[in-house]
Amino acid sequence: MEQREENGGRRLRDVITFAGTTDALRAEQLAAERGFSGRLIPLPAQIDADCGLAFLCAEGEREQMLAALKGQVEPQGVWQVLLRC
Amino acid sequence: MINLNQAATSLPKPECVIQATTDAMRHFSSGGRGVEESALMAQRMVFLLRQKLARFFDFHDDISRVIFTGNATQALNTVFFGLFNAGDHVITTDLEHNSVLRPLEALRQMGILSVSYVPADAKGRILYSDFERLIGPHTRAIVVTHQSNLTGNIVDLHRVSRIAHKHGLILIVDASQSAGALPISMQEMGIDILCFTGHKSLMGPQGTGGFLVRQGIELRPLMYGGTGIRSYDLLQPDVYPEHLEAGTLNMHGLAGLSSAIDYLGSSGVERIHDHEMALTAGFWRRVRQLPGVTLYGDFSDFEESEGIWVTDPGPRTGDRMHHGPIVTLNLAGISSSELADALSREYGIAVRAGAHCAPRMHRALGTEESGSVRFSFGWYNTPGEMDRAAWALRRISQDLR
Repeated sequence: MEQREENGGRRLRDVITFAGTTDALRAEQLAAERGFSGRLIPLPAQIDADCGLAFLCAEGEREQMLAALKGQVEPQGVWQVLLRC
Repeated sequence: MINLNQAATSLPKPECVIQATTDAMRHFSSGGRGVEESALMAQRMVFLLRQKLARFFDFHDDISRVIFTGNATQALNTVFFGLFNAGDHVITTDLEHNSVLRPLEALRQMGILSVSYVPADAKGRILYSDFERLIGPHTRAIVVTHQSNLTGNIVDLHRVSRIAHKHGLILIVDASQSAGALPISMQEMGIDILCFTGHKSLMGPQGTGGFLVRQGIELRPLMYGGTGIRSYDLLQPDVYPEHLEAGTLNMHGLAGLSSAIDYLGSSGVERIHDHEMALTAGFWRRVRQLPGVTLYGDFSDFEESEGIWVTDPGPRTGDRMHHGPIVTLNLAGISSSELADALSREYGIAVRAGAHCAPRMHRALGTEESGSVRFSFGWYNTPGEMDRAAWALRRISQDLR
């Protein structure tokens, strides 16, 4: 609780970024097919002050998500970001 | 009204297409420009449509290479202006629509491209050996329509692709008339770039279209603008499809097209083709011997079967061509415009008259001055409508005697 307050309610989360929108949507589709509960979010400004989509992994699902993407979608980056979610 | 102008646009549209389009207008935000649920819904629809079209056209490359445009003309322009370099030579045919002819001519007048045309004869047929004859050291691509919008003659793409690939050329196909009316397999037919419109036989809304381009073929963008990604790049991002899709897509129209592809999947393109061809053959049988009638195109499919549609007429050899759901004709003693007007006003039958945006084809047929009247059949036309159109034509023909 103390840590959450220090970070303004933020926690360290796993975020995957992609080269384009189609790859992000494909990642969402692969996650849904496997019952993962991650979701698409706006590209976090801490990664890039740009626009577009990124995939926020559900807590503890990063490795499974990366395994699901293997051979299907090439992530541009895998990040740990302090996010308010 | 009996609509026998289906080659211009399919009418009516399936109810599910209308519903999907209006639902999108109620619920979609701007896909690619937000992450609220309404924007994501729009993006997911477009993503799924890319997958559906890849399956529909048997396209095995990455779906990021399914590119959306406003229509087939825009797709063809994007491909031509994005692909060709100074000094390139292109082979196309007399069958082509202005959506192919004009951008190629514009590139020629800019000094970028030289263009050769495979000639058509008075029945709108081509000699496949002419493609090979016209190939030169700088030939880069063959651009060919799948089906003439004027005669309905169908080009054997297997034969063209064998020639193209034997010589390392890119095969670009204009499927405006055939997509949705004829089965198309990019894989099996060896098509490198397939351009389509959404509003004809695909039965989607106007303002939709696009192309599928194989990996390894890189195109420069024709349009520059917003993509929803990499806002600080000075030019279009190099990632597909955004590289070639500047500006907000017609998400509402694409939602309708997506529903149309589902509808075609459940109806079956082969079944649709058989239905349309049975009407076309029946119409041909009823009008071919009318006094003063001149028919344009290769009707050997029908001649062999006496106007009874045979589901699989077998492969065509030599210069004979299969026929699509179009019968184009003239009647002696009445101009094409007068005939179309009489059919519309007196009988409530919609057809297309005059020149059909295919100037080289008209020259080959000898209809440059007269124009012609095109009857084109669609999924929603009935045998009764076809019969009435033939009857109306007979009546007009009798009145002229």
